[in-house]
Amino acid sequence: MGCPDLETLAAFVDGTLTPAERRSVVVHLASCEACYEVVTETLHSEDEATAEEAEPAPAPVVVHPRFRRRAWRLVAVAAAVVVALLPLVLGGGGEWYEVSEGVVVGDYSARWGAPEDTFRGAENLPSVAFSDLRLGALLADVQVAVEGGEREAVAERLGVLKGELSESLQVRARGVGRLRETVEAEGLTPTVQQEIGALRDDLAHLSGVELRLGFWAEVSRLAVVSGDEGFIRERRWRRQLREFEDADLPDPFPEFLEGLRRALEEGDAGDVQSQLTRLLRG
Amino acid sequence: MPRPKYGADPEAAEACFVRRARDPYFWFAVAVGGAPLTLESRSQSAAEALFLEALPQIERIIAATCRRKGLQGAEAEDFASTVKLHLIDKDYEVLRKFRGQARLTTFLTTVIHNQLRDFRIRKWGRWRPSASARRLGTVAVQLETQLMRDGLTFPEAVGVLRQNFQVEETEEALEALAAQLPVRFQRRFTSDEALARVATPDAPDPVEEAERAERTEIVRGALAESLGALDEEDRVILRLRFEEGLMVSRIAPLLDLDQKALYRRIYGLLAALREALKSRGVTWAEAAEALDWRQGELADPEEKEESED
Repeated sequence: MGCPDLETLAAFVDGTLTPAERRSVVVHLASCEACYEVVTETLHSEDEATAEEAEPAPAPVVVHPRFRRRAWRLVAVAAAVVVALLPLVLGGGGEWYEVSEGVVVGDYSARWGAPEDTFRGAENLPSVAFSDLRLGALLADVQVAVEGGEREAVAERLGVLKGELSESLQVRARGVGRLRETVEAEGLTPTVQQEIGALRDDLAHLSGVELRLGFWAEVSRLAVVSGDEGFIRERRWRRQLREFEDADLPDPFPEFLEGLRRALEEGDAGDVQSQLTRLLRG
Repeated sequence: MPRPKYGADPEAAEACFVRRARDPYFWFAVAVGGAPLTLESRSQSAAEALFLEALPQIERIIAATCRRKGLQGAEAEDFASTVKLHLIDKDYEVLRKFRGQARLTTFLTTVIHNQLRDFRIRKWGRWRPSASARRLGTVAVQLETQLMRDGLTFPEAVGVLRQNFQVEETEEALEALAAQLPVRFQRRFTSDEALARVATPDAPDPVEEAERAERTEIVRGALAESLGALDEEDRVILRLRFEEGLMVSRIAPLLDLDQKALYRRIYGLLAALREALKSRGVTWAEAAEALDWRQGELADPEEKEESED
């Protein structure tokens, strides 16, 4: 058997091969020094890049009446906006769902032309019980817009986020408002992107697994809408979905996740999209 | 606006880029009769656009690779040019064939490392940093490269590391690092020409060298037989763990294995390997040294059993 192509080796590193494909690669690595070297060097490079990005964050700022503006500057992390996997401290740990490059980019409302195709956060989710879910989905939309370099979309979504936070987290809402003003005035500078990453981590520390579920569900929905067949076919959803299923979420989440799993196993993209939308809208 | 659905168009499955929607040619091709929705079948504009958008990423990966592998100056520039030319070659063929099965970053990393392998072989033959150096980290690789591949003296190598790689470790630390490298080098503090006129007191005894070489061959033969009897996945697991130094928590998801079961499996493999080597008259220490495996964590299974009693 000849060497697998480089993308197959990359997919092996990413864990997106089928079991049979993975076995085939492993068997090959046992006897091919060239491919073994490429795979191990890729692993080391990725681990090094992840280690550089995941600098430990300062302790989260506690909501307090005396919270000051400059505290926002302290809540900065080294996590890059582009594809960072950050372990959560609360909620039993876990990871952010990775926004796959080349798939989830840009302002979808403008691109696909219909508002219901893009999750607009608070406008679509009426239930208070889903507030953390909604926050997660909003953060996903913010990140998508950041990755697409869409300054106006980022500012708009930060505005929605501010409205969402204003009832329960007034101090943070004001901080988000200032961040929005900075985006409008200065654009998506590296500092601004860092603060957006810090915002996500800050909210993650305060919220539970529902926030990550909302983030993942929205990113997954956008992946399916964009036609990323690899997301379903290569079962990229597998690990994250299992984590949420094991997270002992309250009703009615288990029922939603069950329906979602069924759709994913069957591979029906339309049904998957419906299930994700149903999850996000409550 | 048409949206590709899973399974509806197998050719569309080849390209998973939302960015294609920004390409006016894409919509023209669809409008005139459903041209295949693949990058490869279209003009090179989308692949070129992808290359340009990914260029900062590509340069970042190249820079990190050069740093880790001890490439510097003109050599690093030469390598960077080689990579970019490869990506541009034949109308961006590499990118046009990207299926989206892997992440773009990972794919680019494998492409770049594959290029590095070819680059290295062209320039320096089969020399590659040792597994020990790779495990010890970037500074060790850079140090070994200067000492072994480029033949610098230790002070010269330290100078290069300080100037070109901004290495800040003390000289003592670098000496300690060098001492952990598998190939024992002469820590020369003078020129090669001067040394050539003097018989060095550290020159190895030729008889001892011959005996050592013979013993090495015996050890390697026994290892080849013993490792060859293992399942392919077992061999890969052991190499990833002890040659590359990857943690079990890193290996388990890579091979889709349960982490706790993997710990037990590795322990069992080591015990079996030790018995196989013992039956061939090879000690555990000899095997570990010959393989250049991570000895600090490579506990002798017998010692482990005794400590658990």
